[in-house]
Amino acid sequence: MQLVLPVRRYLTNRHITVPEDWLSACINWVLSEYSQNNVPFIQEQVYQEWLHADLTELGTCCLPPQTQDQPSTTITGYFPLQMNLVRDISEPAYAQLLKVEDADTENMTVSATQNHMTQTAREKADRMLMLELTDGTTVVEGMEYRPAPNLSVDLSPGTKVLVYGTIKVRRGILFLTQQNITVLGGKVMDLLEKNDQRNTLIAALNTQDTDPREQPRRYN
Amino acid sequence: LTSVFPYLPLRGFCDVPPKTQKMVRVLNVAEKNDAAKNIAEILSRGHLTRREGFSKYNKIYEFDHNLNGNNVKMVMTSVSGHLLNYAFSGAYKKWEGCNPLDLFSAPVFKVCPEDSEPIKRTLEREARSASKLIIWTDCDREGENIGFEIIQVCQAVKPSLQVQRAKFSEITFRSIQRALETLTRPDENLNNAVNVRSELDLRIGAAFTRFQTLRLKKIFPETLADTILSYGSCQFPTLGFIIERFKAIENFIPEQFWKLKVTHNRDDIVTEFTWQRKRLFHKRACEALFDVCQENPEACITKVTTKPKSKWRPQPLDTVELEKLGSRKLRMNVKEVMKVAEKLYTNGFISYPRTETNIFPQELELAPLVEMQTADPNWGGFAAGVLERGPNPRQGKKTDQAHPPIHPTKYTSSLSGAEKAVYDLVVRHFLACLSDDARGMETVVDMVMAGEGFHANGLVILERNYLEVYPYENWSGKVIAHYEQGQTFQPTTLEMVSGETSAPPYLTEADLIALMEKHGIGTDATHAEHIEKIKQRNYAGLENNHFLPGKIGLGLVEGYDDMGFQMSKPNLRAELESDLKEICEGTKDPQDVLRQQIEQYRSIFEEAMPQALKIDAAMGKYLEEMPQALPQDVTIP
Ligand SMILES: [Mg+2]
Repeated sequence: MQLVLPVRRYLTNRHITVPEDWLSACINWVLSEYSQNNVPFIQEQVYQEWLHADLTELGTCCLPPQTQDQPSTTITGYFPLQMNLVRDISEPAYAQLLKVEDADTENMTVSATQNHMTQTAREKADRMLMLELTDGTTVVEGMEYRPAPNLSVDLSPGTKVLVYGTIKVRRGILFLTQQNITVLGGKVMDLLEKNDQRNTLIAALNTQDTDPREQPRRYN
Repeated sequence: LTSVFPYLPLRGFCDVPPKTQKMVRVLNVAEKNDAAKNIAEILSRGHLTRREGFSKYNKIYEFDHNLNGNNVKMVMTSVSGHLLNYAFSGAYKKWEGCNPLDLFSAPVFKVCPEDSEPIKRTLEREARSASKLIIWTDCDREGENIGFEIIQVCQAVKPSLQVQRAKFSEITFRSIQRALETLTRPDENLNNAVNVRSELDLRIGAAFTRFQTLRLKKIFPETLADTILSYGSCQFPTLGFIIERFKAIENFIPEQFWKLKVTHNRDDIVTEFTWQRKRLFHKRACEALFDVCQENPEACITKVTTKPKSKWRPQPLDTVELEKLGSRKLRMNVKEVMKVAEKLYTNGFISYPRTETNIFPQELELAPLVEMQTADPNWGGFAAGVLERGPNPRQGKKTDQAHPPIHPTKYTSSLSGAEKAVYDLVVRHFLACLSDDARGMETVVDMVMAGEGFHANGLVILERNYLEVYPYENWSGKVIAHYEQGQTFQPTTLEMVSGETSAPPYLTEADLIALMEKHGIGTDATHAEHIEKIKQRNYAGLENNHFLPGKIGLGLVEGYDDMGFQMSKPNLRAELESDLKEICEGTKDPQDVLRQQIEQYRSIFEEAMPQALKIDAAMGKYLEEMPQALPQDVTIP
């Protein structure tokens, strides 16, 4: 099929490598779906399919081996990755969960001491997002080391990002800044619910190092 | 007559000796015996006679007085708060005499409860021989309503009685004298608002209280056979706040966090640097950043900022603030604080303690009030200082247009115990808010280590100002070493430390007041009563000064919650309170408000009845008792 070559080139220009059989299957599917032979159109459609594919199913691989086990290393290059989930680690998961569940927590901050509210407002730290990333084989984490306003907790699970340049990695965590990550888009249907904010926060609470204490019932 | 012939001796025309001349009698009625006594003493300058009335707690004080140029006989007596109550009559009075639903429409009457009967008889007797009535009840909504009750009782026996209202904020010579010179008419709007409120409280309270009590005593005969389960539209939201906080604490999940901490010892000073990122809820992320710092632990000072910082003196004292301070700082319960404050007011030591105002009115002369306090061994010097610089009030934003902020009206050093504690608080707060903010210099040192930001804060207190007289607050300085921009050093310690989040604290009485005020539950005059009520009913209790809900309270609130009714949420009641305010301002019709509110609660009641099993279930859960089936012959819903 003479389409494979230009499409692969198109993807390679975007630093994306995909398995041979996925590529031809995808091209065939696009052809049958849209009955168009226009190359740029097909290139764009295949790219869209990749954005919405689950890289873990594709089994692709671009991160250097053992990236997640190195205490300290750097990686250099272009790494198209899939963000499985994201969470803000500067704030307690429980407080975020209440917000997501739309619980009315307004009264929790009311206190007889007037300066209580302003104090907590001032003490709020900068956000720090933690992303779970995969190249299709290796799962690593990416930390918002410096503010990256292009990222947010509203990104859909399965969003594809491009991490590039020379990236510091510590204890399997990529140090992300606005200068080394770009959001490409897309999502993975199977992850949408599984890894939405609510489930991500619940999972974070359940996998804490400390067991939530068994609290005695207290009423008279 | 006197204005035409000002020098004419009054009794000059007639030959009748003064003793037998019949002077006009003016009946004066205050809200409490103490107030009557003190007002009478002020007006008569101590020349009064006292005699008994039918009620042994409410004396009658008599003196001659020149009222608008006429010599009159002043007869001063009192009630003990409300004289009349709304009540049902006939079958509606009996608990099992009607379906509770009927109580939303059954006729209600104002009646005099038995213990007020002697007071009523005194008023009737004195009114018959008087030609004029002056109302001296507290100048707030309830006081106005009590005034109308007095008028109703007196005019019933003497319809021709002329009625006037004295307006005052403190029982001092100036204020009482001025009140008498500027008598006004009683305010019908305030009276209407209280009538609407009382009628609703009676109907709603009786309907739900009878329903809950009668039903649950049969369902839980072991535990609740002799328990009255009262319902009040303020009580429940108040209880709701306690339960909301309780559940928030129960459901809370603590989480571990980690952070970096740097200290540096220099010149015998240990300066602690705080991480700009505060804390992270991810151990490995924190470890990774810790690694980065450990590999290159050179600290570089990037910025040193020194700027003035002040701690603000308090705003003039209003009721809610007095309650909160009394509870937090004097460790008294709010009801006690208000009781003591009222006593101080009736004795002329402080101004009226029920006020929403925290702005001193222009016409209130502050200097003489400060002057009085210069005699005190503890704060006299401070008061003299305030006087020298001139009183400089920090103004708040609220005014109820009725009373000034709470302030001392007289100096005394003769008090003890709780009275002294509250008086001291009022005086110290007054002097504090008229003085100056505390001033200091804050230094913020920004430091960077291996790309991680840290900062240290130091504080030097320069002038304590109001804090000198205000022991209820403190402000401590913090010493840090001297740093300059560009300076580098190796930290003495670099650590990764961990901690755990904790649930919000249980509510204190002061917090509860703050919530009630925020949501408009009750008024500053009634907060304490509502809190007291839920304690009395064992719906909630205090443990180490913090509120914990009781089983019955939890069961009731959860039962209504399960039905989907927001009985324990503040919205319904807050709506009424704001309607009442509008009635007072004359912008809402009392009958409309009454009708709407009755309809609203009646429909909730109607919908709640068929779901009563949900209350049984919730109650059973907390009482740990199996609900009994309701006997067939019972007509209770
Ligand atoms: Mg009163």
